[in-house]
Amino acid sequence: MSLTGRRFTVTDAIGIAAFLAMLIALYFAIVESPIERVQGIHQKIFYIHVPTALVGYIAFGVVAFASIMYVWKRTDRWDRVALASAELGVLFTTLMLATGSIWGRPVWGAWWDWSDARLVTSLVMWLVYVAYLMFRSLGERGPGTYRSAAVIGILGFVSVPLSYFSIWLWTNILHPVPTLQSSTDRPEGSILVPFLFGMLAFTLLYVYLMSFRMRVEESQRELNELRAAREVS
Amino acid sequence: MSYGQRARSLREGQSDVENEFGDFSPIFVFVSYAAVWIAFFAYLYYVARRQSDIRSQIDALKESAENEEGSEGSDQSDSGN
Repeated sequence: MSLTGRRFTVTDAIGIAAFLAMLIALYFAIVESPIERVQGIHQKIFYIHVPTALVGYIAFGVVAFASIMYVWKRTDRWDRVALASAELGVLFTTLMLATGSIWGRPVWGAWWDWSDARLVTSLVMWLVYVAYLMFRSLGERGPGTYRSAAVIGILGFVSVPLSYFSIWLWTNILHPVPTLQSSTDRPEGSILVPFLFGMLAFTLLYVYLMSFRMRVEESQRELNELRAAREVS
Repeated sequence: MSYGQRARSLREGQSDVENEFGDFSPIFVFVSYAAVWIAFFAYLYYVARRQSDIRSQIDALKESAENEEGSEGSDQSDSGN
């Protein structure tokens, strides 16, 4: 089967599934989900804010895992996985910070609050991985840079649980304890379904972008090898 | 009321806390969803452009290598004659 004259791949299928899931999630979030009593329509931002945050955490988890595998196996492919996932993690976390800030303005009356531990630790986590990407772009391609990047990728992961558990570690913060984990406030089915669709859509999108981004890294490796071969000859 | 107190009141579900922008103003929701969709499409476009640039560089390198091989071969055949 072919689209635009080339083979239809698994990546294409995941891309289509991700796009459809995004549309369904959008429908559930905007049309099907109820309007919350206290926050009103602004609560609907929850359905993109939380999935982007959770997928961002997963992406940084993949960075740490791939970095450990690189240190262990010394295979360049693991380094490429770490780099691609770090870029996507930064993208998802940027969107999480942006949507959180937009949500905070009508609900809390402020775009940002430096006394909120979840906001500050999330910003620190974002800065750690932006620094990781800057280090990658400034350093030469080679085992030395890959090794140092793997160490940053492993140590930088400390910022992820710090951000996630900040609402339990610090008491006086604005972020509430997640409703799904609260024993006293169970979510209604009508809130849970759009949230789960959002999670599915953003996870599929992450998988699709990851395979697409990996293809770029493979092509970049091929280009570097060709250039090196030309220099030798 | 500070926004910290306001947020805590909202969290506790106190009904006397009014929303500054009105509960049914969809502008913040619209901006959030639009930002996410635009960001993903922009990123996809950026990655696709990068892939296409790299592929064209690879093709150019392969083509020049083939041309060099071809001209070397014709040089050798010329000197043989």
